[in-house]
Amino acid sequence: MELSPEQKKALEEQKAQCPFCKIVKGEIASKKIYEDNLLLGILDINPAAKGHVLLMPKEHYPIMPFLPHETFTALFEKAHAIADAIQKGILATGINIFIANGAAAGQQSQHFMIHLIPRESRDILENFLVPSKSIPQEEIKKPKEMLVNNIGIMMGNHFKRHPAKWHDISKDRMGTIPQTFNIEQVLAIIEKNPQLKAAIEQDPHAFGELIKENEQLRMVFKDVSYDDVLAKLGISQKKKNNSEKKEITKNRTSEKENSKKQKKNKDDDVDLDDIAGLL
Amino acid sequence: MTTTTFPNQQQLVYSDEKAQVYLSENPCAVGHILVFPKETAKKIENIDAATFAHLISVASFASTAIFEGLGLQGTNILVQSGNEANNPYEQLCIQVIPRKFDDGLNFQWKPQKEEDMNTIQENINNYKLSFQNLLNLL
Repeated sequence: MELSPEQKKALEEQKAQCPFCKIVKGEIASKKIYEDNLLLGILDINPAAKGHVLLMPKEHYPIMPFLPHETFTALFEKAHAIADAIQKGILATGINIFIANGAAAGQQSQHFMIHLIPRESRDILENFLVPSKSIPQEEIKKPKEMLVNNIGIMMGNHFKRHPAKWHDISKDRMGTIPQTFNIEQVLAIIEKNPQLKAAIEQDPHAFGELIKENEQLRMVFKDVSYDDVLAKLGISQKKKNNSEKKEITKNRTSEKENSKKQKKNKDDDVDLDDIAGLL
Repeated sequence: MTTTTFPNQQQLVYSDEKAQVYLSENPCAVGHILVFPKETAKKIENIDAATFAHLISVASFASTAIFEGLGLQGTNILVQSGNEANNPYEQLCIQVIPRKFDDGLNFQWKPQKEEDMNTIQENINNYKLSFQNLLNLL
């Protein structure tokens, strides 16, 4: 996250006052549970339960979105190991990890940290029971579409920047979109993306084939007929036939060109992923 | 401790190879989200560290999405490993909770009396050391 010079200055002032920065520097004593070059884990002096550990980045970040990717990953991979050690060390069978983003969420320290709190079946803690409130069904459902779109796009960008070993970006970038589109929506997707429209106009038949091959495209065109979409776009069947001939000639061309075409198809997929997310 | 049935597929808002994200059917606020691992895992120790970090990164993005999209003032992310940790599901659960100043929610605990911190530190460190050694061997 980029900070303005004013924000940087405010952050520096915050750091100078921060008790946890002093603990990191060793100016205030603490009971250390874990330490490496990025992280520090200490026992909380006001514990919710026996074995309550605070795990924090050594660097002062006010909220979670400020954490660089490496720190974020290290923090939670180590939290996983420390959670195990806490449970074994104090003979607990369950654990809560609690994160507060913002004062409204109960964040008390301006130095971002996570709380690891071991739990037993008969302990006295009741504050982590998440209540359910009576909210009208239509209110509950409202954010669904926004979330389907936004989490997909965010994770897509995240995987593009930090591909995980197990994750094939080209294949499953958006995860599953549990959504179907009617013909108006499909046309809207096409209208919103001139590149996509050009690809269909240029070679309607090849694009039809692409729909069959590509999972993401299949999802979008699941409930509509491709021919109907072509008709609505005013792309004639005749042109489609022409391109069919083109396709046959293309098939005879060298492997090198084929792989080029595949590469192009891949580029089209990526565009479409973005568009599907925009709806 | 009563357990709740797993959310309906209709509530699914995101899924990938390792994570599945649902809108809560019995929310504590509009935009209350549940993140689960795809594999069957009741507790945090049943999944590997990389998967856990991935689940939290999904939860973090979900948190940003509701924060921006619903105009919130804060969010909580709460990992519940085991029914003893107030997890109503039979699957490891990460709750992403929308927060506003006057929402009537409160997850703050009352501080307990400090116990023998030296012993606690020693006990945890004993296990942590063995774990660290294991990691170094890998």
